[in-house]
Amino acid sequence: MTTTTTTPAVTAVPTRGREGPRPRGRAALFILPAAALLLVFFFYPIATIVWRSFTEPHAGLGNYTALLHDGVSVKVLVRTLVTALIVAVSTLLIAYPYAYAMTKVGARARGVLTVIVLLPFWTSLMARNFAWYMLEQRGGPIERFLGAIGFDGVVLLGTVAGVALAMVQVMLPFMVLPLYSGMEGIDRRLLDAAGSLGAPRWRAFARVYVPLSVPGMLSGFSLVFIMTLGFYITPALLGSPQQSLISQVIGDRVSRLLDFGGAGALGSVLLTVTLLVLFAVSRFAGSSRALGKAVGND
Amino acid sequence: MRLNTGIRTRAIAAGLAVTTAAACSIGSPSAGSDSLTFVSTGSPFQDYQKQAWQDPFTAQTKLKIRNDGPVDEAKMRTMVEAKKVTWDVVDTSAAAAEQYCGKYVEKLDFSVIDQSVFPKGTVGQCGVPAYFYSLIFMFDKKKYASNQPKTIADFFDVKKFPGRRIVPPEIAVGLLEAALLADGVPRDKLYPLDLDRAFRKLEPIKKVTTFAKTYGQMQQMLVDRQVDMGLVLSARAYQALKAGAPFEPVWDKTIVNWDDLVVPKDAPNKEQAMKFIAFASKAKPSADLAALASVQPINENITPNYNEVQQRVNPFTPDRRASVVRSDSAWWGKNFDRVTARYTAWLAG
Repeated sequence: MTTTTTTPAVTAVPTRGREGPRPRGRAALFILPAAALLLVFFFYPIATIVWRSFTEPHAGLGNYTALLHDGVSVKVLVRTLVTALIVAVSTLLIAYPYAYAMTKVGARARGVLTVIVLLPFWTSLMARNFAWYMLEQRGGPIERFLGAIGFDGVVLLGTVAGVALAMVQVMLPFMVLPLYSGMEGIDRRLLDAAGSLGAPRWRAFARVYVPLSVPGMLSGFSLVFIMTLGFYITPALLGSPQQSLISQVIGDRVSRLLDFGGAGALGSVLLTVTLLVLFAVSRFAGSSRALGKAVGND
Repeated sequence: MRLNTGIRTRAIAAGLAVTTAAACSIGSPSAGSDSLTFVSTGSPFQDYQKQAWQDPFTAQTKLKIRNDGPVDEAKMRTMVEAKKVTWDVVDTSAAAAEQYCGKYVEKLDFSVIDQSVFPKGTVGQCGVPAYFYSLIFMFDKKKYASNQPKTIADFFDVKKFPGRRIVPPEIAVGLLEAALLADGVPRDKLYPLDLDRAFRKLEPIKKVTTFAKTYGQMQQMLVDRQVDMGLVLSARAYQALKAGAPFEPVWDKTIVNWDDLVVPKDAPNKEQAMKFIAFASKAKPSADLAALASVQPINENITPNYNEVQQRVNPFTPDRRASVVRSDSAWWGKNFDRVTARYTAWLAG
């Protein structure tokens, strides 16, 4: 991946020398449609939502202070953050060995493993959610299985656990793929070098391989964490009003109470949290990526 | 580098997908003056409204009717505020008609619409009943074969009648009324609702109750026998019974609600909309809809041609009529936001 991105840059140098600065302006032109689209359909609506959160029904911070006192918003926000954290960590734990295996096997097996990861991608999200609905409902396979091994009456449908379980499955590709592309670039000779210096295999893995895979982990983790924070369909189908997540509460505010200001305030809080997470990750990733580059590529 | 752009592009792409989807659903072609846009809850209910109301109306007046849906008050508000209203007649709750009267919905023209056909206390300035529906207490007759619930109080008694319960997704259709009636509040002292008392009464059943997210889910859970008793809307009760759900109604207290027909503020075809509402409140269209959709007609003098299963969930037969308690849409119109906020907090807490 790193090599493919650098190659065009290298070949581009003589072209630029021949034609002068014009391609640069042309490149800006290429970005224009996408930028215009974003401006109209993304930044403008978001700006409107944020604006309304400060102006409706009254100007000021009323909507935000109300969030602190309504008895739901803070609780639901914390619940959503915890759920997103659990989903991201669980996905990481499941995806890590899988992505590792993908780097170890032959080309054909890797192809099969990739298809298995992508299969859920190609299946309708609704179909998958309804499949989980059937699995998790009262009298469904999960309850019967848990009953058989001694846990009676565990119904996941309508609980945060049930939502998290389904989200882990939905999010798995978003974790496996960044992890794999990160691990693929790790020079395995470094492990041999560690071994030749006397490190047992597990220590070489823990001290050399795992730190080198941190950029992939961070990328997958933040992707899954952020997507889980704002996920709507899965909680709406598998969750319940008693254990609702923030997206449902925002949806309810808009459609039941027509409270665009309050919903906008909740949305803005969610957006801020998301940006903070992105910022933290990019800071953290910046330092570890420098490490990865220094060790891995040279 | 790869790492960061990956996240950003995907996040932006996802956001874009959502906003474009929203934008697409807002923009719909506006109707011409020889047609009307009618908005309701969608198939199959809206098909029944087409059959019972629209087709005969079009035959009589040559006005074409375009169907849109589902009803979304947030969308209506957005259209009114953007001054781009494409809806002419909307089927919405009586409480919403009260609450948004003059703000997002027009006052009705009672020189065109005959308000004398509706029961007393059900006509508002901005809405007239489209049909009535009832919240019926039903139980699984196999589960409670030997010990059958007899009164609405039994729904809230988890000691005498253990089991899973289900209640509707909307708070304004009678859950609080049922709780207060079960707690002994006389029906003529029901409004204004004593919220503290109602929520106290709900507390014991909270753990064993499914608070349905949609009416479809409610119907499905009855058919799959995922619950043992429920407060069920008549149309859904009928569908569940028809699908073979072994449920039996209790005719102690039945809370009767209704939907209103309203005209959104600045609707493009206001005049025609009033004529359509007047037509839908005539005896035959009302009776036809009632029989097709298993709802109750706009007044009790109209007798729809119910089938046997529909008759089983009809609260207006002479022997069941005493159980009927009508909802107070004016109270709900004033208190909907406050009660919904409290209910949401109570549920999530």
